[in-house]
Amino acid sequence: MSRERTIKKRTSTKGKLSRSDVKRTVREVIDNRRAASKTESSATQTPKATTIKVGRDAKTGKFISCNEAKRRKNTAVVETITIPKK
Amino acid sequence: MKSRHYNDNVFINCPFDTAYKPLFDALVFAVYDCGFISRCALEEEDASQVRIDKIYSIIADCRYGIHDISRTELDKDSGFPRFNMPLELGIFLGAKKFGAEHKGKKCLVLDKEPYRYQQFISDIAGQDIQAHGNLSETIVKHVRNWLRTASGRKTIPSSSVIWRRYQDFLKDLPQTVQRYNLRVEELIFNDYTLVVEEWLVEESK
Repeated sequence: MSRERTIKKRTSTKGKLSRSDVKRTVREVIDNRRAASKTESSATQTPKATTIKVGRDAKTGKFISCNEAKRRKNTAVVETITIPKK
Repeated sequence: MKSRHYNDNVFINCPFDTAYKPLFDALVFAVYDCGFISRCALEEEDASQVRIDKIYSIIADCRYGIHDISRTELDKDSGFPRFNMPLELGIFLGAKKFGAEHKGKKCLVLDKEPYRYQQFISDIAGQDIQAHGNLSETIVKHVRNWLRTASGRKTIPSSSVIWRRYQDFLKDLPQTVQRYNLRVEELIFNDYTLVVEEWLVEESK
């Protein structure tokens, strides 16, 4: 089922405004509104948190490189730290 | 002689006072958004033409008619009731009844409260009359549902979609008319319909 409708226009308009002027103005106003709402929605979006991987020695707790931690599976761990965005 | 837009034209017979204007604007918008053309006595400002002749010619050119009899009440100044709307409803029903090429005319009758019309115009009691409670959203819903049923067109959007678009339109309208040094409340019918037509076309792009 087609959902497209056609907006019908009166053939003669006897108002003060001209159709071409109104068409241009309406286009500008709609574009401005859409741009404003786009900016607003992107500004109000909750920032995503980022995560990083760090390696730690299981005995001492000291930070080590991820590669080192992956290599020493029995004595080190790889931890994921979440850094929340402000 | 019917014009080529006869099947798209909707005659709007309603009060033109300030209190009714928000309802009138919503009604006109809903008609356009459903893909029809709003016609009413305000579109012609030719003082040389007799008002009733204007109404005859508009009714002759419209397959559909929306008649709001909610303001058929006593005028505070004169003490007499306002009979213009019931009169124009009568002309429309007469055209449908006796006009050979107007048998296909269809109309929607609106009032503010259900069954109130039975106290002053009981002859139309057999017809389905819708109450809008002086609410724009309810008018939009009634107009949309009626046009969908009366025309059988499947392209008519739902009333909630029309209402949401109307809210967007109301946001854009002041900025649009401001550029021509006009105010929304002083916009004449022809200019209002022109803005509605162009806004709906541009919004759908």
